[in-house]
Amino acid sequence: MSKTTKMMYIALLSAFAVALSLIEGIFPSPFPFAPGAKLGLSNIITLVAMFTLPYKDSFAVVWIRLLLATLLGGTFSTFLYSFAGAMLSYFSMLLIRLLGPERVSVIGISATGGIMHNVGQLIVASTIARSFSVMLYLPVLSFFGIIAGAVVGLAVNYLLEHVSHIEKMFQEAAYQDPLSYRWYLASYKKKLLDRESK
Amino acid sequence: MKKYLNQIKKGDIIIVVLLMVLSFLPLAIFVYIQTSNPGATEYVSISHQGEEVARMELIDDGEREEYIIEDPEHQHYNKIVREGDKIFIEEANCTDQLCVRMQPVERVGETIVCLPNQLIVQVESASSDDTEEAPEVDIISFNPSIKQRRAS
Repeated sequence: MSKTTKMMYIALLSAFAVALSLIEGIFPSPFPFAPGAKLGLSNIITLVAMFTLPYKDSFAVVWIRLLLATLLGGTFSTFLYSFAGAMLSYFSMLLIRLLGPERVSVIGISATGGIMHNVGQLIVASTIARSFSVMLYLPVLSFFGIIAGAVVGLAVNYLLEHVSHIEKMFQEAAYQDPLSYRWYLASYKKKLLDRESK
Repeated sequence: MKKYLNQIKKGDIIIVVLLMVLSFLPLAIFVYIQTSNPGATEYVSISHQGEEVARMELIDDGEREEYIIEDPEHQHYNKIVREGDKIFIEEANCTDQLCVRMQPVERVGETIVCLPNQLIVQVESASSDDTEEAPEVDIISFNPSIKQRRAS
């Protein structure tokens, strides 16, 4: 993979992520009874980046998305919230991914990301508001975070298997990193099984 | 549906259940602190930009009491209404209107937060608040008259 290809890929993913987070802001929240709960569509891209790129580059995708989404439709305080949420969810997803495809699946990783995003946001909110009781809202948010995370995980599963360019990058990553290799193998096996059952 | 369920591994369920249980931890800590100070009266503390600006006692008398926060410098406007032992925000000029959409609160520990206007409305109990405040008082800053005004 040439350096230019990689750069293009990072730019593309970041653009997708920014677009998704802006589009998400246009539509009303799917959970109207829990103010503050969101789908977290841009998490799809974070996960795809995590599986198809080395750590350094997937971190770049997260950063670029954060900055651009803030510049295009946010304020400094929304930046603080999404910064804490995105960083916490990114690093916790990295940790869960280390467990390997034998123990967890993409759905579990993204559900963790969904919950930790809310945890990060509430930590910032309770620091700004100087009140611990904001954290009491956490069970509600994490419940919807799990649902949203599972949906995002399903989407990522399909993207990794069926979009040819993403699949190619997934394969590239598998050559370079033993952990990615295990994940790629698991996804490939599943794809073969699906084909057989058809 | 089975196709989707097959993608979930055992580890996923363990992690999700663990996180869900952990998310109740702040609530458990809070309830523990509250129950260790029983016999307190409930009141509502309204704070703006981290400073307490007003208190209202929560009594179930069926009456309506309003408190309006206006900060022309930052263009903050919130109308907080108490109806009996319930409290809610009726009007606000914040962008997301989340505080207006929140359910009315009545029990200790429940809060309404308006982040754009840096406003917190929180139900507290009187005795637990004293224990929180005690360490902040030192010889230099202690002023009995302030203490008295707050208590009234």
